[in-house]
Amino acid sequence: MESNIRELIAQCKKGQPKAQQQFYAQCYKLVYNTCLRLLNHTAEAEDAMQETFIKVFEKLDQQNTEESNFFAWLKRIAINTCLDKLRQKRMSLFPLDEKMAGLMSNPIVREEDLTLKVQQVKSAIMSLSDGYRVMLSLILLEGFDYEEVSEVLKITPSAARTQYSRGRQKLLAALSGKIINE
Amino acid sequence: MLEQFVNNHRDEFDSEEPTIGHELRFAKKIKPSKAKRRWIYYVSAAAAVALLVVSVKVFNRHDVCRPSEEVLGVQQYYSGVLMLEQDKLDKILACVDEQTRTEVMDDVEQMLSESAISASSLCHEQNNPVVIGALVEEYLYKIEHLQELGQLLQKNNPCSEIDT
Repeated sequence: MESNIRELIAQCKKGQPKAQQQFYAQCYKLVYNTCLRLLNHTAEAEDAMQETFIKVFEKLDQQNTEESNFFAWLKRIAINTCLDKLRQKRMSLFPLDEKMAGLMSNPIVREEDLTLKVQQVKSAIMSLSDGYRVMLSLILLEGFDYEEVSEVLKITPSAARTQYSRGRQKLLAALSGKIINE
Repeated sequence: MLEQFVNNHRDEFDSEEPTIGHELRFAKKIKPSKAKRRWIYYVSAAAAVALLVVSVKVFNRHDVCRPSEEVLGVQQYYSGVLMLEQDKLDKILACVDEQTRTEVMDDVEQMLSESAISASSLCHEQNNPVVIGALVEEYLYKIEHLQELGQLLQKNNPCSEIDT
């Protein structure tokens, strides 16, 4: 961790608003993009991002900021904040079997046939249903493994694996222009 | 392949920005710690001088571009309000000791001189309602902060009988 960030965190621990604002200015993008992917709504993503930073400042005392996984901790708080918001909206984070049934009729898309572009991949992820979007965001973009996903989504690791595999296929179908109704 | 592609373009996947003014909105949500608040009581002494400096800075910041009528109107109106707050704080700050006055000066001056709106936005997007809204919001935040400071000082200061 860079020394200026470490110093900022130390000042944030003392509750210094100026330091908190500086820390926010340096790290907001990291958190905002995670929130935006999970919530798929700019205003809600901003709310979740700011809520995340406030939670982080409140919990800083209990956190060992020397650890290299500080940013992973920060992201974990952001992810949990977003998932709570989705649950409050009663969004289904784990699509029902019948929803998946439709997927089975999707054509299999060969990755080698696709020319990927960042903006297209981003748009395609955002076009998926909440469950698939969240799953792909966590594994593909946040680097979670199935164990970690099962923990935050409260499902089994094998269910996470299945869900990711289906979401991934759905994403490829979207990228190939062969998106099927969800 | 998909996973590799994402890894190779990691930064581009984190390139989205929140809407203008988000830093200001966040600043409003942060509450100073109790210790900080106690310190602020004594601190505000320097605010009077700081306000003067800030008012000048606020105007000067836009000198690189000729401000539009609307931006000019916003600046003139809210700078006037800031000056009024300065007068109020002047009276209160007269009761604060030298050392804390200096500390407060630095603190308040910095708060007032900082801006979440980039000079470039003000220069090139000064007719954008979002930018003007953010400018107003920023002035309001600073005014509110000074008012709160004045109230705290009045409440805890020996000169609290001063009519502000």
